Amino acid sequence: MPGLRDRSYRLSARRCCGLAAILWMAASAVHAEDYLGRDDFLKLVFGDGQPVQHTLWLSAEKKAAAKAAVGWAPAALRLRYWQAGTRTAWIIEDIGKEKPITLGVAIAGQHIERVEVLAFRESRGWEIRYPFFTGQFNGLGLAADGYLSGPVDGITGATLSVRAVDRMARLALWLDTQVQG
Amino acid sequence: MRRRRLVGLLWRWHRRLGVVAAVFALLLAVTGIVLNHSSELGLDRRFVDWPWLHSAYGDSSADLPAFQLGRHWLSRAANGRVYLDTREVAPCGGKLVGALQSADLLYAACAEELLVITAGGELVESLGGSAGLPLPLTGIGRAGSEVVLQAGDSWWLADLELADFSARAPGGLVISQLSPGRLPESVRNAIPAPDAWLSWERLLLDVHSGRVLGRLGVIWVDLVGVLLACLATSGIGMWWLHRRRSASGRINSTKSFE
Repeated sequence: MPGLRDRSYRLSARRCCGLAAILWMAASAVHAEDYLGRDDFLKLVFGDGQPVQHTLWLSAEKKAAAKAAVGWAPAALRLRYWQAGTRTAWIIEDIGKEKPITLGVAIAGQHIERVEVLAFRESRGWEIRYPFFTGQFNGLGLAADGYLSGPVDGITGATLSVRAVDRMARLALWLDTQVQG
Repeated sequence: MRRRRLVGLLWRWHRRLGVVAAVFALLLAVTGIVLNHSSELGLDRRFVDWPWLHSAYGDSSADLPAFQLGRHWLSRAANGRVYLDTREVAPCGGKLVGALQSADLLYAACAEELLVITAGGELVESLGGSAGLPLPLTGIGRAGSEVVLQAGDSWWLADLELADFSARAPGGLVISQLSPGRLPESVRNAIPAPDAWLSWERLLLDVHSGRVLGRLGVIWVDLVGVLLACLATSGIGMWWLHRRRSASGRINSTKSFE
């Protein structure tokens, strides 16, 4: 029965490929990753334009003001941002559950233009990197109560990561108002 | 005559091997019985607190990598966070591979992250792969007034104003690095300790299998197993020879009666 043997061989090879793909996806899902480099993020935001890099020092007073406005301030004393005209791009880090998430937020005209997850180190909640989630932030601004001006749907099993992205997006909007004067 | 000599030889070696094997057979029996009841005895929930044994297992988590910067100690505790003395600074990805003091700032280089810290222990900034940091970091040093980072065998110039790490350090550069030191007990006791993992059950299991002595221990327990198999075989052999001799003795005595 060589034909049958060949068929079963093909089937098992196909199964092996399927299994390998599943294992690869699982491994990539749980592995801490840098999805997007800083330079690639800036290219996405500014295209071929040359943004100027600035640093913003977060004094104790500024952190207190950020907490009062949006309910959160990062632990770091220094934040980097890039600016070209009125468009700014921010790279902010916050802890989701146990490990930091690095987020890039681009803002133009006091509204979010783009959100990208640059690095994700947690073992769960990595779905926040996908455009179906990050795309929801586009066009949102900061409401008077410190929350985003529109709703953002969460992801089951990624609640803490979703909250962290929401916090960082709100902070970026607030920081943008600070540096735009 | 030949059979009697064989029985005598078997007896001699059976006794000798028996004495050697007895100690290990007892050890295997006792550890085996205790292991069978380890849950009821709580041995899987009680941990061995002997540093020398942890070292023997190759667990170096108790030897926290630490660097002395002036009067302060920079270390990365078991919870993955960097500490300046006993003050928690920030999480740091990967093992702490180096530290440096330059002007008023301190730098903690972990394998996946570089932390910039004030002399008071406040986090200024953390830089990772997305900021262009060459990863994994294997060291940090100073070349004149420049901070240089090591990734693999290559050294890179670190422009920390622009967060630019794209320039390779030129060859022939004299680089000074700090050597790791031993964290003082007072600091070690005040920061999170490594999780306990060496349970009594694990230790007994490793004594039972010989793994507590490494590969040689496993081979030794294998040899004890072979020894016990030899004892069983020689015992059966002697019993069988003795039975045959008794049987032939009975037949001979019956014949002589006839």
